[in-house]
Amino acid sequence: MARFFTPELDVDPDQIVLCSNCSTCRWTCTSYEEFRSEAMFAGGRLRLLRSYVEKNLPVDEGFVRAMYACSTCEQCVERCPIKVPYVRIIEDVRKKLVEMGKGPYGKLGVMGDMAFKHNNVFGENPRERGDWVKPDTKISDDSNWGYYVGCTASYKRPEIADATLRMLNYFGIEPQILGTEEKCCCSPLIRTGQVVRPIHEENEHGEMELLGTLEAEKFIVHNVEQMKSKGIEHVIFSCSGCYRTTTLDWPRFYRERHGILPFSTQHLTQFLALKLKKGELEWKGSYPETVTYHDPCHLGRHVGIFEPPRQILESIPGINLVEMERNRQNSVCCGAGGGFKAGFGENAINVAERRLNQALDTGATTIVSSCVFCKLNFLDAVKKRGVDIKVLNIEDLFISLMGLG
Amino acid sequence: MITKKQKQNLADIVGEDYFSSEKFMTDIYSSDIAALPGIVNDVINPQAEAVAQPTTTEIVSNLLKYCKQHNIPVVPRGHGTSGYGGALPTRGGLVVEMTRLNEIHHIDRDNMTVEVGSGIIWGKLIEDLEDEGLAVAAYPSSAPSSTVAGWVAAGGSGIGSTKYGGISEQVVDLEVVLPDGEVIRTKDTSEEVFKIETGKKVFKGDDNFHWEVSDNVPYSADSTQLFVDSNGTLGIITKVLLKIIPLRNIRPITASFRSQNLMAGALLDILEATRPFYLHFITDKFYRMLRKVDQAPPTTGEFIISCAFEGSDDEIETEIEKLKHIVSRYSGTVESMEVADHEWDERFYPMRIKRLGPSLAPSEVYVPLENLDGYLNHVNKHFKAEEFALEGAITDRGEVAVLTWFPDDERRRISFLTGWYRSLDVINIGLKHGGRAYSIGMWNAAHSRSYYGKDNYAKMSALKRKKDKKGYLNSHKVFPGPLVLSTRLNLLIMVIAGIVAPIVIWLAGILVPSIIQAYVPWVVVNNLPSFLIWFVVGLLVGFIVTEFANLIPISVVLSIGTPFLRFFRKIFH
Repeated sequence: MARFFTPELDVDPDQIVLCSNCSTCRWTCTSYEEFRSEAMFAGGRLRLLRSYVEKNLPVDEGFVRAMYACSTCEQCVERCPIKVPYVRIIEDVRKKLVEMGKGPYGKLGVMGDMAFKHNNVFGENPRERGDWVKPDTKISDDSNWGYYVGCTASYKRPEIADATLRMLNYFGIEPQILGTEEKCCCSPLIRTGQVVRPIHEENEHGEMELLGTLEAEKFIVHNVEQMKSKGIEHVIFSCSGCYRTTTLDWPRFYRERHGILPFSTQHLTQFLALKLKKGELEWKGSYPETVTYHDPCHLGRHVGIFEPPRQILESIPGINLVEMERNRQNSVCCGAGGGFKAGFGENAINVAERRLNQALDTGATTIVSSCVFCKLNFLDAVKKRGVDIKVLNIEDLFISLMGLG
Repeated sequence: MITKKQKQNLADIVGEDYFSSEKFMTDIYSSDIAALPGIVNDVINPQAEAVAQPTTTEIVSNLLKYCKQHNIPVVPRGHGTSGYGGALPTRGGLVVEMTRLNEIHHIDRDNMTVEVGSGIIWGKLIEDLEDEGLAVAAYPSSAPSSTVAGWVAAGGSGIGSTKYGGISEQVVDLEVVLPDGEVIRTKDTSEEVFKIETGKKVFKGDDNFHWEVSDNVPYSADSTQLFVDSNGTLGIITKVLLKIIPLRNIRPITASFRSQNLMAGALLDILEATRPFYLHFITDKFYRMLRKVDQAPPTTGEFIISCAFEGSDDEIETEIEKLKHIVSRYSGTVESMEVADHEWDERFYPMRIKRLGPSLAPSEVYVPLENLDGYLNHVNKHFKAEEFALEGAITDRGEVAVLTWFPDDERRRISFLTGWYRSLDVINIGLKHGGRAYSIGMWNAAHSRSYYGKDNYAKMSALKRKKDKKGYLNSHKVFPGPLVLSTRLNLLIMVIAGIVAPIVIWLAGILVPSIIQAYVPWVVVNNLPSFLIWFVVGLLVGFIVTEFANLIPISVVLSIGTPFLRFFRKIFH
């Protein structure tokens, strides 16, 4: 037992020793498909990790790069015969690398710096976080419904935030938003191991000065307390990453010291599917195109929401919904998650391009997803690689067909 | 040791993007699926110095020419999913990973063959062929992860082998790069090409041992079978021409039995009366482990036969009726379709029980089906103090590939080391029951001659000697070679000898002073200079010991070590 605990990299031996090196996870691994190296798939990374831990090798850049070149899409966990909790292990390792000062990889640290300084990972002005709200949409300050917008929709894809709000308004819900009080959900921080990280900045003398410590828990507690103080009981999410983190990670950080989360979480696809089931959703337009649905990893494999988005799409008049060969639990990653897009930009676009080509193989003219990150990365692939396919999210379709846009 | 300049030259040959000598890369290519006890790792010391991923046959050829010229050890590798040590870089050097040669080159529907790159994964090939209404006749149980040429090189049987035979029956032709860089198609190359005319001494191993070849050995005009199963010691496979069959219905069926002899009897009768595509069994011990990990099917008995038939609906129906009759004769129960489907889907995942380990020490051996009951009884008796699981798959030759799994914990260094004898004993028990080793790789190199047959082994040895006299290509595999102890272990042995020598002399001086003074009065340790003198002598003795150790073949080390491991296991376990 002792040889697994070393001063350099101490990771939970019970977890990494479980991997049988069978390589079943290799074939479908997002990063293996891209890098084609044994160090770049789940089982290989665990073997690498063991090798470093057992031999107590100094952590070098190659090792750090290998540990970060993973989109945490969980295809490996899905395929693993032994169900080794790989994503949890890799997140723990990244956390350890950050603690050691060897991580995060490349420019991923900027996300943490920006979150510390501006409460969002893009370094945008926190006072402008709620600026996407248009005058013809309604928000309130006493509803028990809340809409957690997230950094990407707030700053980079405001049309998603707007569409979600219009959708809620359509059903008579005027949600509360946290606006300038909303902070990053910590998904990018937790995925890249920046749970606790000292933040330094170069001062005028060229010396690195400690500004403070980035603590994901503080962000989470702040967000929860804000929602609590506003009396929010149900929170809607348009971002799959935020939804996954709030549903699976926030309780982990919050419960121990503060108790259970005082609200329920719901992704907008679940919300719409419920409306459909209750007979409250009647489409006003039609979408006479062949459409395929891409399961976001954070919404699908991580939380298990596969059918609600499909139920919504199938109910749209005129639509021809086709499935890609790899769908639901076996769905392929878009390449944007787990810090992969931020750390390995061009590779992430390669991954997205491959997925879009799989969509084209079905004869689809539109690929629909329900994740801000998937859409962002797919649109980048369309723009940079010229893939001829329309990329939409479910909320885009909703407002367009209901004439709300 | 590959020099910096050589690394640059190798990178130039293969392309910068497909070459790495970074520590994190070479480390990961220095092991295969098997977990080795720490001390075994220290002794065998597999450590790659560089990794190349060639993208064409020409690059493989250029790589081999360069490595042969500069005597750089080369180890070909697929996905490293075999546990027989066939891909371990025991002499360091260059690991050549073939996974970038992964295309389907040509499907020939007239001759029902498919030509693929050596590094394509079986699962991918099966899926792509399925789209064309075709299938491979047999595939390994590691199909989701293993490469085509990996199985060709390692040999063995798999799913479909009950009807269509093992991998050697599937290969029609190979494109192979010989150790001197020459590219051949094995179908068009006679075995006689590799014959050594002068004298009859042939290469037996890296240690340059020789023996006589018998006269009148028949030589085939097709040398394909010489390369199948040869673990990449005779050349690197770059393309494989495989037999294919039309995609047909496959229907699984599962039966369970109350006892081992009933199950063994049923297996014999099933193989006699029907032609199953897949015939597999697990014993009660395996079943109970599956239950512990919530994977056991709800069957009546704990001895389970899983079977699959292939053909038209009528053909399958007829076969299933025959099977049902046999099962009832042996008081077994034919289980529901859900159970049968579950067992069929699980055919790739025997390792589910690893969670109980957390490590699994496996061992596999072929046993004639008629001796299965006796073999299982022997194993049960021999390992009565151990926890283990047994499963087996029946081949078209009437043999059973019996796989024994020992749950273990590799983090407990001593018990994991002493437990290693079990894997070797399983094979020895199999041999006693008329069986043979499942695959050779490195660990079973002692069984090479009986495994390949004397004539075939002689032909392989001749090829090795003719094309790779120094044994730079996949050293230690198939042809038993001597140990290459790590520098660390060499130094450790020397230092221990250096310290032990003066201490022994000092103790002897105290315990038996009269004998020392009478016969060797100059052997004395009574002050620092004398201690240092004997320390240096000890170092030298240690050095001589390490030099001798480096002459012992690994197979001999295993033969000598196994009884000790068994003894210590019995005492301490």
